[in-house]
Amino acid sequence: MRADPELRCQELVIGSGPGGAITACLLAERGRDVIVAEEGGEYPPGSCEPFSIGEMRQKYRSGGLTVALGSPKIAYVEGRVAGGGSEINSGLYHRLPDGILEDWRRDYGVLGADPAGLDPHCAAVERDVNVCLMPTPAGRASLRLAAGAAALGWRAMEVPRWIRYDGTRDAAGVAQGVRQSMSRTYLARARAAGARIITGARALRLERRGDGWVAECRIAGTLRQIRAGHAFACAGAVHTPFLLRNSGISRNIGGSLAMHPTVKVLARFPDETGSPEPGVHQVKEFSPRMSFGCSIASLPHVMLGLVDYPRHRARIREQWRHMAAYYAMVTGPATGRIRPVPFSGDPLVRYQIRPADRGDLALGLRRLCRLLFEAGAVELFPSIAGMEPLTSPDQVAGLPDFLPADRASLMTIHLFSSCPMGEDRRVAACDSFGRVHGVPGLSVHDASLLCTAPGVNPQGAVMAFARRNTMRHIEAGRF
Amino acid sequence: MRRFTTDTLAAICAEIGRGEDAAGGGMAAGPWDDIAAFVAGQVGSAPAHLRVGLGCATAAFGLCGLRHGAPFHRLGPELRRRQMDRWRSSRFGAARDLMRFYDSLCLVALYSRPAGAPKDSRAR
Repeated sequence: MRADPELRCQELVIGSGPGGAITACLLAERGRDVIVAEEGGEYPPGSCEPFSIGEMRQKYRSGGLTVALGSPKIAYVEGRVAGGGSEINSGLYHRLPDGILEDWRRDYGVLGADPAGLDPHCAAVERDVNVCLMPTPAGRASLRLAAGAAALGWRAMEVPRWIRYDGTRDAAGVAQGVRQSMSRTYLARARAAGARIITGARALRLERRGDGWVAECRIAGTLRQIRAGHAFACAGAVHTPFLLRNSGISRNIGGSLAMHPTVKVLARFPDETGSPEPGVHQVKEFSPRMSFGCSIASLPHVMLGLVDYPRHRARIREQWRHMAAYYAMVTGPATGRIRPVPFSGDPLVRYQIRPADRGDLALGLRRLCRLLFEAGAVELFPSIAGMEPLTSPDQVAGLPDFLPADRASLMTIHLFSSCPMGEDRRVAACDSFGRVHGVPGLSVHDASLLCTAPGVNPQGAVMAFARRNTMRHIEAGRF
Repeated sequence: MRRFTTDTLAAICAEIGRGEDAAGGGMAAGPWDDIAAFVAGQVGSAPAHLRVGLGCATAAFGLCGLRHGAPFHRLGPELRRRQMDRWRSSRFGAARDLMRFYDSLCLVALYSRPAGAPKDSRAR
């Protein structure tokens, strides 16, 4: 790094997703001089259709073409936009299950990871982003998932979302509203409190200089430096460890990526399924080991789900409104790795799924198919190449016991655990409050901190821990 | 080489579009330049190591047309279709993956064309 620092601040937040946005907001509202360096752009509401190819190009990292190599490969998506993943996900909110927190306390020595310690932060986040249930019945596809679960005696729940319902309804009578994503909430508050949000700014590496940090960033194609007293890496479970490793910080960094591998099923029903938007119900009977939910089922998504069923596409295309998309996700182990690639600006992500997890995925798929037939589906299309669609419950037993690595299509939108927190330095990269062990003035505040796959949508946990850790940072006066 | 890969990619996209159109998808009618442009843009934004791998695999696919006397993008529709079907059912995972990759992107792009895009307003 040759040039003198051009930008200075007290607190540098790298990334503006749920972890970064809340960190920047709280710091700025306490009067700290904050810069948020966000790699993606910032777009006005309505700049693209949700879940569309326009959104892929605009808001997804690498246009959505990101994959964890392994057998099988697992496609994943990350937001690369002001507001991060909160701008592109469906806004489902969970608190962390007590059992998960207990595991983290026991296996990683995480302090204060208990309901008493986290509940106040969860409550504050829920208030700030308006976590709520729907004021009307959910969409038909979502209700069918719940009905199928009820028929089998399985536990299902409506998952609250961070959304502000505005009194309008779609043609099917389902309440509509505006998701309270980071750009509408914490990021907007951070800006109002004086934080400088620099979009198109990619942090390349961090260097300890004096008693602070200098971040080398590429901003609008130009290399620039940002000097800060404290740096918060909030670039997500892939790019935070990538940044830290590129900065020579590697102890327990990027070697324990976990995720929720997910397999999808398209279901055809005798009548139209109404709104194609994602559902709000999840089946938690087998949680946290596996969960089932309802996904987006617009025409492009339906046709994509039929990529392995070319002979059936023309027929289904005529009745795509009868289709709904569902998923079975399992809690994968922390077997993934993130490493820099020489002469490349992108990380190499590898994830080796274990045979036991392929067994879990297959079991989840069978259970989900059984549920969907109970819910009235007349034809199912699991995302496994070389299969014929299932047309009766009797065929479910014929699904494989292990998801075939060479024919199954897996994906995930939940990645975490690449810089786990805890006091046990043998396994943890950061302490219980996100400070990188042995590296003063540097914290991690994103999904990388979560010690293991939580089995639930992780954004609520990310925000709660980021809030707790930022409050701790402020109270400790680590300026 | 880059031009060759681009031509191959465009021919693959056109062939996928032609197949969908032949199966009766009104939204899949040609020309398919918009589809090829979308797919090329997606490939261009992929992580570097994936982009290189995709480029090499696409070039190899294009060269495989030479067994019929011309690179893939210069073959007629029938020969193109047969070559793509062979790769789709290949015993080599990389060959199947390449075809699946292009099939997936083309399907998303074809059925995102404005005429068929869902117009409902979704809660986001």
